[in-house]
Amino acid sequence: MRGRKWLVVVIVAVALLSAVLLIAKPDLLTFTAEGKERVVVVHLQGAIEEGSAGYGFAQNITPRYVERQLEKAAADNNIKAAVLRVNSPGGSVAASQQIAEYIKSFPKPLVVSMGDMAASGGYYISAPARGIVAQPGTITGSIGVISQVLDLEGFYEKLGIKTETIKSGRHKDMLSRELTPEERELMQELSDEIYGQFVADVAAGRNLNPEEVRELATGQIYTGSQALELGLVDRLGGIDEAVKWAGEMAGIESPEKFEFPAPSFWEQIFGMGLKIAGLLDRLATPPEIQILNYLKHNINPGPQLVIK
Amino acid sequence: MNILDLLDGVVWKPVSTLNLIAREKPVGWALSIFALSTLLGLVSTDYSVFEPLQISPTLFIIIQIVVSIAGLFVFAGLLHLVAPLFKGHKDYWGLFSALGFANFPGFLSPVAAVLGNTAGMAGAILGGVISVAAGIWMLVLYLIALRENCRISTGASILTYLVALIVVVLAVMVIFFLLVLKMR
Repeated sequence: MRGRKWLVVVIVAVALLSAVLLIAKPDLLTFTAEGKERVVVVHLQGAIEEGSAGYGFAQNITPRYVERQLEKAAADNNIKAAVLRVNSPGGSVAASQQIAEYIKSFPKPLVVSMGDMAASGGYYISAPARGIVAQPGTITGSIGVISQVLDLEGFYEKLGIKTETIKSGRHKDMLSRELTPEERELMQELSDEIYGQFVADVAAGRNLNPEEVRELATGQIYTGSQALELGLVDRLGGIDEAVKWAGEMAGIESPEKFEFPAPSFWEQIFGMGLKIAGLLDRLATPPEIQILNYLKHNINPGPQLVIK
Repeated sequence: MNILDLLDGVVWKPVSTLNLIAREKPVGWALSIFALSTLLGLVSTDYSVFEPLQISPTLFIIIQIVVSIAGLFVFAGLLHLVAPLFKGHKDYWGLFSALGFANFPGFLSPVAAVLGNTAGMAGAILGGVISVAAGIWMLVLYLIALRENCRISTGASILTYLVALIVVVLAVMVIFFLLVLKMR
């Protein structure tokens, strides 16, 4: 037995060296589209937000996710163009702007294919694409900014929760009580400022006159067909039409649709461990804390303007 | 015997070595081999597919290792409970130690991953063959570990595994069902 110990040493040494190599060069494991010239389709589904904490699978669109997908598409030489299938009601302003930046700086032809809805923030991230294809029944537009301040004093009173406010800075608590006329004006200025950015970015992305966009940007929603007439989208059709067009832009005669692979069976099993941990975490939290957490995150989320 | 002797034995003389491990119960080494094997398997996974999880790879790996170790404790306990149905001898820590060492083929995961992603088509085929071979090797070691620890036949060992697996699948389904019901 002693004479063959070298095999164990070799297995362990090669395993550790391989592991070090994989850690040092994680791109080794990144799937690449082999063979033909392809157009990658990336699905962006849900509200737009900066990120979500916790264990659960995020169902939303985050800048980090979009950045990673576009990086992979940019790095893969067999991928000649990209289609983003956008299905979103909008969301965070800053996250939408960040995603729009990534899309603007993507080095290959990129076409947005609109799904059920690409409204407000969903339109914001679509505007910088080289082309937009919508379904005739897509809900889009809704170019505008909204912020709502809830006065929860009566609600808290019913729950028996009393709050005491100690503040430095006279407007610091303005989003947790009724606004004064001056504060209402401040919020309006803030909203107008972001609205101006939205209009300017849409105008730049779509090569339209800002005044023209401002006329459309009333917060009104449009169908895909109406959006085509107004110049907010370029073509009507589905994903295949978008893939075909992106392929034409990239000079591919018969583009092949490609999607990055979903997690494998084992990877999903691993991920299930995280899901169980998340569920147990939620169940272990007392109901009253769950209610308070819900109120904290969903009813009074702090200063936030959204485009949805 | 030191750890090198034990691993050497797992490779070349798995029956007598796993029998020895079941009797000697080197739990610490077994846990280390299992944790390292799990870590190497995770390092060989394309983390980018977990991007939507929005957690750091380090935290992800730590959670997975903890969950896997807990899983080994539970699964060894289950086999320990099922084995007597087939007239098996009961020794939890002996079984735990043997199962831990039976994960040694998992060390080949990063080797397969590197070959599969750097050496073209031939590497992909070789990497795939190594992965499948390591999986089969591990399964065989698990069966030997159970057989040697519980002093049962190979057939009884296979049946014990099948019963334990069915129990795990049913338990997971029931737990998920209850959790989903409770969350609604």
